Formats: sequence, C-alpha cells, structure tokens
Amino acid sequence: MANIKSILRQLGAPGRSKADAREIEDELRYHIEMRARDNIAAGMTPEDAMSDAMRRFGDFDQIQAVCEEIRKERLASVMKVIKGVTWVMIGCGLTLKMSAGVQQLHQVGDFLILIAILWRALIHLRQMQPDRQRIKAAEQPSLSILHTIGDFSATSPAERPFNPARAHDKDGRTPVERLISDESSDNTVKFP
Amino acid sequence: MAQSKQNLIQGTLAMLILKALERGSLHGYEIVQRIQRSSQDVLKVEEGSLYPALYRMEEQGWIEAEWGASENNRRAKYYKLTRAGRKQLAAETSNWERLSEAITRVLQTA
Repeated sequence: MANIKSILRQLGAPGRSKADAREIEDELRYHIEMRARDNIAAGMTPEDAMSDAMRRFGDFDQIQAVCEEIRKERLASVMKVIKGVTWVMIGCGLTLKMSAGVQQLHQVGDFLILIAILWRALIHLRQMQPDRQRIKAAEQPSLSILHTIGDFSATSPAERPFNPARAHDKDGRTPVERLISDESSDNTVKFP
Repeated sequence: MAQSKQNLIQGTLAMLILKALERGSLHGYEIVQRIQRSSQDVLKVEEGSLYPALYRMEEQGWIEAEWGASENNRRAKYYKLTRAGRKQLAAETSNWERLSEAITRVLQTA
C-alpha cells in the first residue's frame, strides 16, 4: 500500500523528484546535526562536534545519491509494468476504434489511446532510469556494516575509542540516553 | 559465497532496524542510538549506511516513513513498522535463532 501511495505521488507531481531529493538531504542533515548536538553536550567545541559528526556519517554526497537512486530504482521497475499496461490500453483502444458500428465504442477507444499516450509521455518526462553503478555502490556501505558487526565479539569496553556520545552527565545518563525515552529500555536486540 | 555473506549481513541489519522500531516510531539517528544502546555499545552501525538500508526497507513495505516534529521541535522523518515489517521481524528473528543455535552446536562439537 505504501508503494502504491509513493508511486501515485510520484506520477501526480512533476516536481516530486526534486522534493524527494530535498527531503533526503534534510533527513541526512538532521542526523548530522543531532550527532553534533550530542557531541557538544559531551563537551566538544562546535567545530569539533560538527567535524566528528560528519566523519562518523561518511560520504554525505554518495549516501544521498544512493538513497535517491534506490527510490528511482523501485519506481523504474514499476514504470516498466505501467508501460506494458499502456501498450495494452493502446491495443484495446485500436481494437475498439476498428470495431464496426457503435460510435460509443469508438469514443472509448479514443479515450484509452489518449490516456495511454499521455501516461507514456509523463513517464518519459520523468526520466526514471536508475544509475546501475550507484545502485551497486549502495550495497557497499552495508558491507562495511558487516565488518563493524563482525568485530563485536572481539571488542571490549577498554579497547573502544572514546565516544563522546557515551559521556555521562551528573545523572549518570549519556546524551544518547537522554534522547531516547526510558520506555525503550526493554527493547533489546538479543544475541546468543 | 560472498553474495550470500552480504545477504546475511544485510538481513541482519534489517532485522536490527526492525527490532529497534518494534516499540514505536523513531528517526534515523534514534535508530542508530537504539541499536547501539541495546547492544551495550558493542554494535556500531555506520551512521550514513543506515539510510540506504532504511530506503530499501521502505520500498519493500516493511517500514513506513512520515515527517513529524522531533523532541527539539525540528522537522524529522520518523519510521514505523508496517504489518509486513512485523511479520518480517518475526521471520528473521526465528531464522537468526535457528542459525545461531546451529553454529553454537557446531562450535561445541567440533
């Protein structure tokens, strides 16, 4: 259902791609700003806090591009199906037009052909062809997560680098803990 | 083999994200913190890498996103589990437990 909504939104708004790109950028920037805010709360200078937040985040432009391409990739696959549907509509429209007799059937045929042509034109204008290279790159960051997760058994608290987000306040809570509600404390990820 | 390893880890990240969202909506930064906190700082998701995973999961219909106001009155994008996401979480958790039990048995006997 969410996919259908997303597709209808894309088809219905010619400027949607730019809006999506802006939303992705806003979302990623928000993440960095939250990290910087926690860094400052942990005692870093604003410059150091922002620098650390950006370093932790990684390549902003690439991640933004990857997110945009994932959106486009999904839509492109749906567009293929829709293109097929438009061909069927054109076929049906032509059949109706060529059918002898009833004027109303001719009008329905014209209508189907017109809608199909407009639909195809709209899809063509949207230019929703994903960049395969970038889609491949999208898989790479997940691999680096593999290494991060893969290291967990070898990591002891003493070996871990200082993490300003873990610095405790006078109540014994980290800035992160202040962000997350206490209700969430039961929500643990179980590992054997 | 490399492909299956990659799939395994991608599935694992997805499972962690789904689990983090089990109790309610969170934005991306909170998801990272939730996973880190729940694992007692053992697991660290590369922060930027989270977002491609979230977008993939959204397209798969496991999670839904909507913009809302954060606790500091900023506009933030919140993710929540869908019904399909809950099913996926149950399936992935079950698979993970079966897999880890199997590995544990091998390690104990080999």
